[in-house]
Amino acid sequence: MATPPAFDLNAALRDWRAGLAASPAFKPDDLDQLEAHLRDSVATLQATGLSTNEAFVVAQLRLGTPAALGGEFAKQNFANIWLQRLTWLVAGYMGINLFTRLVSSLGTLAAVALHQFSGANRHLATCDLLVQLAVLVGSLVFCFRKRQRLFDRFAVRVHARPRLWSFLCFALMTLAFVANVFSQILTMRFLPVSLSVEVVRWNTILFGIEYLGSPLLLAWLVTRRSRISVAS
Amino acid sequence: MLTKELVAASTVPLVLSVLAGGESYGYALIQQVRELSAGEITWTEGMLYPVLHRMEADDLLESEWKPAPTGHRRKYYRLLKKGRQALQTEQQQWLTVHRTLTKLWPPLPHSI
Repeated sequence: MATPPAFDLNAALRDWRAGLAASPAFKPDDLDQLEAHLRDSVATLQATGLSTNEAFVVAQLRLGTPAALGGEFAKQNFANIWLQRLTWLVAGYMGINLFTRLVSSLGTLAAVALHQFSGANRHLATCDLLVQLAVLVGSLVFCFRKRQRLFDRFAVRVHARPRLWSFLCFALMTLAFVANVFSQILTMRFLPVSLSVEVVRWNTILFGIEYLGSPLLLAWLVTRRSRISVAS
Repeated sequence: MLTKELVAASTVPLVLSVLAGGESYGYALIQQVRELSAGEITWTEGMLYPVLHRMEADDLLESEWKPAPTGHRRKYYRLLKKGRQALQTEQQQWLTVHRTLTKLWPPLPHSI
């Protein structure tokens, strides 16, 4: 009979932990605590004569099934889970919004530049569209080629300094707001396309609410989340 | 064995009482309660931690990671002032229930 391979407690704990880490109900600190518990429990059970493998199975049984534990921890981290989802939702909305405004501003700027420097009145809309398309496709390709590393690094940095990042978001959105107003003034001032002054004014007010409101919401969410994480 | 409801109701006073005797960590807490109750009070061990976290969020306890003699880390819990006050309230309430029930019941036979 072949002897079974030696049981590796550290590897077993790693697998067990990876299983739990998939659920948003557990924070890394919770998992550290449960792992410490399992180690203590395994050590005590081994002292009663069980093998490491047997001790691990019994210790896991006493700790509770992942599903039951997840349910109980989720109750405690409930606010955390939802605030986290909402934070990413608002951040995603802001990111996409900022990006599309930026692209559209770039297109307008290109059209204005073409009109100013070559005096062309035709093909301005085509120029606007082409620049927008180029920036859009270029950014998408960049994001998809580097997505994993890019987003991982970004998430780690945001989590490390939430206040700084919400301030940065606020500054960036304010800047985007100013740039947008500026590009609209340029449109009215230089382009032969006549734009209704009324539309521009209302748009400006709406952008203002959007740009200044969503970073404030994000800042509130992020600071609230870090307070919750500290408290629990 | 206690019913599920009684286990749930008694967890907080048990934790407060154990920690009143000095700081401790989850696994030791469970062991101590099991021994003191002669195995009558057993928790699904992992369920204790959300309770500890809730108590900490309520400022009854504070926690600290410390290295254990085994070389790994353990999270130790200490009672805070609000926790001592909560313990006093719990004590009064549980003793009230206990006194009332013992007055209602005839003395328990000492030999079975």
